[in-house]
Amino acid sequence: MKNIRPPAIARAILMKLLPPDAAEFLVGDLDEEYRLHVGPGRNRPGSHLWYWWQGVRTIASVFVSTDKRNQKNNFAGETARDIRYAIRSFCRTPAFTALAVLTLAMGIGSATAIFSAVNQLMLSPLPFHEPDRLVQIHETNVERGWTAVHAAPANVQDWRERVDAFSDIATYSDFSSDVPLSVGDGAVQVNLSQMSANLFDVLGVSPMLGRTFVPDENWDGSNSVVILSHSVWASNFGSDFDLVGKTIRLDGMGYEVIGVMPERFDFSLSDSDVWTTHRWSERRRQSVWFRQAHVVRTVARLGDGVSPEVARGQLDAVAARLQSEHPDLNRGMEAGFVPLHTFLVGDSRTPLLLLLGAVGLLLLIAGANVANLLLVRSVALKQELAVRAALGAAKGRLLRQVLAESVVLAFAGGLLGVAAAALGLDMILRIAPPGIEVHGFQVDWRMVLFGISVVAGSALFFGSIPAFRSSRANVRDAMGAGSRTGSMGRGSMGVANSLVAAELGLALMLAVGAGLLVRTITELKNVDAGVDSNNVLTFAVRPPSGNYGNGSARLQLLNRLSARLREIPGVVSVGSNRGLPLQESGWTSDFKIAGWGPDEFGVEVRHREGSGGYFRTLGIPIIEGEVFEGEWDGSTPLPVVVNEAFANRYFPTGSPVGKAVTFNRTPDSTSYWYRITAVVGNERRSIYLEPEPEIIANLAGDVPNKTYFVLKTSVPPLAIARLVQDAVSEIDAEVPVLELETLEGALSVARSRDEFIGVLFGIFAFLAVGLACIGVYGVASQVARQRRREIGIRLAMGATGSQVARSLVRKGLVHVLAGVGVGVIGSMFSARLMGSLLFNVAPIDPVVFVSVTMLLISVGLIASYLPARRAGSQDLARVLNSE
Amino acid sequence: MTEALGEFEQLVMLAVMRLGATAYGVSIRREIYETTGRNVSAGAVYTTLGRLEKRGLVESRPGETIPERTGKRRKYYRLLPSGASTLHKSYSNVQAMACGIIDDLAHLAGKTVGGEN
Repeated sequence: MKNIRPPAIARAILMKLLPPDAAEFLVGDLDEEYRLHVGPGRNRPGSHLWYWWQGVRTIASVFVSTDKRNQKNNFAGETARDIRYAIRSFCRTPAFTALAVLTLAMGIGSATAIFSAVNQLMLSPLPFHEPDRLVQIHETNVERGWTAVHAAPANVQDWRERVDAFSDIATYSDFSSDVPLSVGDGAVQVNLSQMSANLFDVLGVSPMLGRTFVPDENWDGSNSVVILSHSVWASNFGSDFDLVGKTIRLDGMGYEVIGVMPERFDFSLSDSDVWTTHRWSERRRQSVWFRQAHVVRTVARLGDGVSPEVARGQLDAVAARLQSEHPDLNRGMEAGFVPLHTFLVGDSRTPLLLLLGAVGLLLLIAGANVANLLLVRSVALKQELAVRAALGAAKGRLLRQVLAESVVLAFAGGLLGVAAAALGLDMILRIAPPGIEVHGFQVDWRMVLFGISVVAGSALFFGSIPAFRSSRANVRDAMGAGSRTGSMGRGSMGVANSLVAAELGLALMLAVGAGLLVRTITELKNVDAGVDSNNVLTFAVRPPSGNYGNGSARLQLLNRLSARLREIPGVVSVGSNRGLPLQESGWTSDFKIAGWGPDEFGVEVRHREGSGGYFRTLGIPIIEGEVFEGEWDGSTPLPVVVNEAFANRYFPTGSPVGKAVTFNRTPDSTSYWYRITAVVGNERRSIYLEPEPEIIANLAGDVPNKTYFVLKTSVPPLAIARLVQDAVSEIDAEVPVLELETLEGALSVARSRDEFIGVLFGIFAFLAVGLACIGVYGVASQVARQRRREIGIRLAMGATGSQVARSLVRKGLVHVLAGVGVGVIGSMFSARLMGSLLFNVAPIDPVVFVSVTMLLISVGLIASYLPARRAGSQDLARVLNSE
Repeated sequence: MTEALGEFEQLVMLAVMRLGATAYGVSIRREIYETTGRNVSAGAVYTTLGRLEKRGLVESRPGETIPERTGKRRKYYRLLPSGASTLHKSYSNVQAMACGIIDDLAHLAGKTVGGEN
C-alpha cells in the first residue's frame, strides 16, 4: 500500500487552484478516497483517471457554487445563457472570430486528414486471421549483393519441410499480370496472380462461395482452377451464385471457377483480383531453375506459442544446411523474415511518420495562434471582466464564461475542421501515387476529438488567464486612465511574444522540411534517365497466352504490329522492349565472356530484351558497333548490345564488341553464346541509382509475355493514341492496348511518391507560415495600439512616421529573430530524420536553410511593419484627443 | 431569519446527523452515495457545508490525520441546534405537503414518464 500515490500533477494543480482554506481538507479527502479506491482488481491508470476526474469536479463545484446568484438558477439554463452570451460576443468581433475559427479548422482539419490516412495505412492490422503471427520470409546473399529478395521455390519447399517453428509456409507471385477475361463477345482485363494452394489457408481467410485450392492443384497436370474476387464476380458474372464449377476463359484458356472471395476480403499482397495456382511442371521442379530462380514471395505463419527468435534460429540453421547441400546455387544464401505488416507497408513508414510530425507541428502552431488571438482579445475583455467583477460577479462566473467561449470556438472550429478533413482526404486520394495505396479512407473521429482537445485546451488555458487576473484585479487599475486604450499587461505581452517566437520557430522547421523536399523533387526532375522522352508515345501489349503461347507466335505478332505502327502518319520510328526506362525490368544473372579464365566471371548483370528500333526511338546513343536491325534468322549467334557502364566496368581498356557472352558462371556444352555487336549509352533503371551494367538482347531470342512499344512522333504523342489503338485491334482485336501514355508521363510515375510527400509538406509549410504570419501581425498590432500615446507624443515632438515605425519594428525584430534562431536549431535535428527521403540534397542544405530563414525573417518583418506603419501615419490630433 | 433549505443542503445535513461524530468529507460523500445512489463531488459537499456553517447551522473542527491522507487533516462537522430545527422545519414542511398524495404522485409520475415531449 505504501507506494500507491495519487497523481502528483493533479494534486499539485488542486493545491494551487483551490482556496487555501479548503485545499487541505479537500485534497486530504481525495487522497483518502483514492487509497480506498485502489483496491484489488483496480488498476492504477483507472484510479489515476478517477482522481483526475474527481479533481475536475471538485474545482468546478467549488468555483460554481462560489457564485451566489448561481444558486437561484438551474445549471442548464445558466449554461445556455453563457453560450448565447459567447456567441453574441463573437458576433461583435467578426474578424477575430473568423481568424480563430479558421485557424482551428485548419489545424484540426489537416491533422485529422493526415492522421486518418496514416492510421489506415500503417496502424490498422492486415485483414487476415491473427495477422501478427504472419511473416514474410526472404533471402539475402551478401556475395551477390542481394538484400531481402524473392525466394527460390525449392528453398521454400525445404523450409516448409524442415522448419517446424512455422505452422505452414505459402508462396505467391507478386508479378501479377493483366490478362483478358472473356465476357460474352468481348474481353475485360483482370489481374491474375499465382500462388501456392495453401496461401488462403495460411492467411486464414475463407471463400464466400465454393472452396479454396487443394494441395494437388499446386502442380501441372491438375485442372486449371481459379478463384475470383468479389468485384470480378459481381461486375462480370452478374453475381451468379451458380458460377462455381463452371468454366471461364482467362488469357485464352479455360479455367474452372472453384471459389469466390467475400466482398470485404482485401488481398493486400498484390493488386490482383483473380487467383490461380503456380502449377509448376514436374520438369521444372527437377530443373536447376527451381532453386535458381528467385521468383516467389512467401507468407509463413508462426506456430502457436513459437517466438520469432526460435523460428529465426531454426530458419538460420536450415538455410546454412542448404548452403552446404547446394554449394553451386545456394552459396552465401541466407534466409530471414520480417512481420508481414512491415513487409507490406514498411516502405511508406518514414514518409508517413514525418507527415505525422508535420501535422503535430501544425497543430502546435494552430494552438499557439488561437492562444495568441485570445490573449489579444483578452485585453478588450479585461475591462469588461473588471466591470463585472466590480459589480459582484464571482471568479467562477467569469471562468464559466471563458469556458463557454472556448467551447463555442472549439465547436465551430471542430465542425469546420471535419469538413476540411473530408476535403483534405479527398485531395490526398486525388494526388496519391499508385505506390501509396489509399482506398476507403474515412475521417477518423478519434483524431477529430484529439485535435479539438489540443487546440481547445490551449484556447481554454490562455483564455482563462484574463478571468483569473480580473478576479484578482484591482478594479481601479483596470478601469484607470492608462488602460482606456486597452493594453496588455507585461505578463500577457511576454506570453504573446514567446508564443510568436515559438510559432515562427515551428513554422521554420516545417518550411525547411518542405524546402528540402522541393529541392529533392527538382533534383529528381533533373535526373537524366538516359533517354530523350520528348514526343514519345508508349504502350504495352500482353498477347493472350492461348493463341500466343510460344515465343515465335508472339514475335510474329510484334513484327506485324511494328510494321503496322510505322504506317501511322506522324510516327517517326518504332521500338519495343521488355521494360521502359526507370523500370526495374528484366533479370539478373552471372555471365562469362569467351576467352576469360576459368575463375573469371561477372556477377549479377541485368539483362532484358529489346528491338534495334528501341535505341533509335529513345535517342540512346550508339557509341560503338551496330545495333541489331531487321529480323534475326537464327543462323548467327543472337546479337546483344551492352551499355557503357558494362563496357567501362568489364572492358576498361579494350572493346567488348565482337566478343561472345553467355549467362552462366561456368559454361558447359549446353550454354548459349551471344555475340556483342554494340555499346550503347546508359539508361537508368531506377531514378535513385546510378546506371548499372546491362546487356540488351535482341527481342527475337526470347520474346517477353508483356512487351512495351515506344513510338517517336512528329506530332504531339497523344494525338495519335486513337490511331494506335485502332492499328493494334486491326491486327488482333483480342490484344488489348495497355498503359497507353506519353513516355514523359510514364517516367514521372517514378517520381510521384516523392512529389506526393513534397506537395503535402508544401501545403503544411504554407499553412504554418501563414499562421505564424497572423500571429506576428496580431501581436505587432497590439504593441502598436498599446504604445499609441507614446507614439502620439513622439509624433508631436517632431518624429517622422517612418522613424516611429522603425522603432516599433525593431522591438518586434528581437522576437522574430529569437524564434527563427530556435527554428534553425530545431531544423538541424529534424532535417536529419528526413535523410532517407532526400535525393542529392544534404539534410543541412545551405540553399534551403538560408532561403527559408530569410523568408521567415521577411515575413516576420512585414507582419510587424504593417501595423507599425499604420501607427506612424496616424492622425496626431486624433491620438491625443482620444487620451 | 429562517431561509428554506435546498434539497442538497437537506441531504448533506441529514448525512451529518446520521454519521454523528464521524461526519467528515469522505464519510458524508459515501453516506449520500450509499443511501441515495447520488455520486456528489467532494467540492460540492465542502462548499455546501461552508455555506451552512456561515449561516450558523453546522459547526466544524479540524481533526486528526491518518497516513492515507498524506499529512492533510480531516474536517469534522456537527449539526448545531439551530441547524437541527431548521432542518426539522424544512423536512416537516415537505412531509406535510406530501402527506396523503405520495401514492398519487408515484402513480402520476409513472403515467407521465412515457407521455412527455
